[in-house]
Amino acid sequence: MPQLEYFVVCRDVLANMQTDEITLSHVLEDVFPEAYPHLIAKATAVSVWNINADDAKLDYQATLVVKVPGNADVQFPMNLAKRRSRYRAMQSILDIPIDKPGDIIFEVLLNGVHQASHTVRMHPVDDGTMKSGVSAPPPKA
Amino acid sequence: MTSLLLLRLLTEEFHDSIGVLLPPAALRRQLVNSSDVRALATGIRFGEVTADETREFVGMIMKEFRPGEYFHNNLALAALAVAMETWSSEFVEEYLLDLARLTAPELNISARIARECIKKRFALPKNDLRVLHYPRRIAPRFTSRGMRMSELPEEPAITRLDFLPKKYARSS
Repeated sequence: MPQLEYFVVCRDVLANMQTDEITLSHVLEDVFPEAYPHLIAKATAVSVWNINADDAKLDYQATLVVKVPGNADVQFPMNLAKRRSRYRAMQSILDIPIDKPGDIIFEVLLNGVHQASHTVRMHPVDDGTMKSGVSAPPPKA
Repeated sequence: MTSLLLLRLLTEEFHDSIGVLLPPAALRRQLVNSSDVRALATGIRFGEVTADETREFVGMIMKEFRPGEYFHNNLALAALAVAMETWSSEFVEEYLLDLARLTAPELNISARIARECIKKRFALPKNDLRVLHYPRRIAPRFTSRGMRMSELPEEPAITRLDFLPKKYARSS
């Protein structure tokens, strides 16, 4: 069975063509939108799998599930390539709509079985009110 | 037009630089260290040599193949396999697998090198990058500012071109 090495969701991925190294940029953890509805223009889910020699000839399906508060879950399936000992699955999801604050959960499944998840917290809109209830001073013109 | 990096594999100079034909694993290492193969690998990686060009090149050299006769371009096929072994593409996968499957004795060297390359390739990670859209039925059309299309004001946000320098402004 393929083993998941790591799973992370970030804004973008850069691949070095010479060294085949990847750079994960802007890992998504907390988002502070100015207003709702908000749109996450791009989120890239990276899952790296180690595959044994015995499993390399078999078919495996890795599925990315995106759970957005207030919306139905969306699945993005992907088959792991055969004849490889390691597999980097990078799925860039464009235009994720967010209607309200809450947690966006990116979950990765292997043949339908949960392997890992990554949570992105969508914070409420900051209306300038401090926690104590005192309004913040207006910004200087 | 075939790239010079590919044509270089057909020269006697290249054949001489490799020397005697060694067992597959050793010959693969010899090819990996060859400056011509390294230059070709770089050319492939940076798009200087395309898949179509490579296909055309292989077609060209295979025209000289005669069953039962020594095939002079065997080393060129093997060198091409080594140059592409780390590159992740459908074409490379197809080339290596097809070459490795061959059993004709005239192509023995290149087929065995291709099998070595496949072994080496197994250890390398496969990058699979896909760009997907969140489904429209769930995500109504948004503008770049995160507004729904239906929420856009009726009047366009910019109605006058005051921000343009006067020399560009159209005289009415």
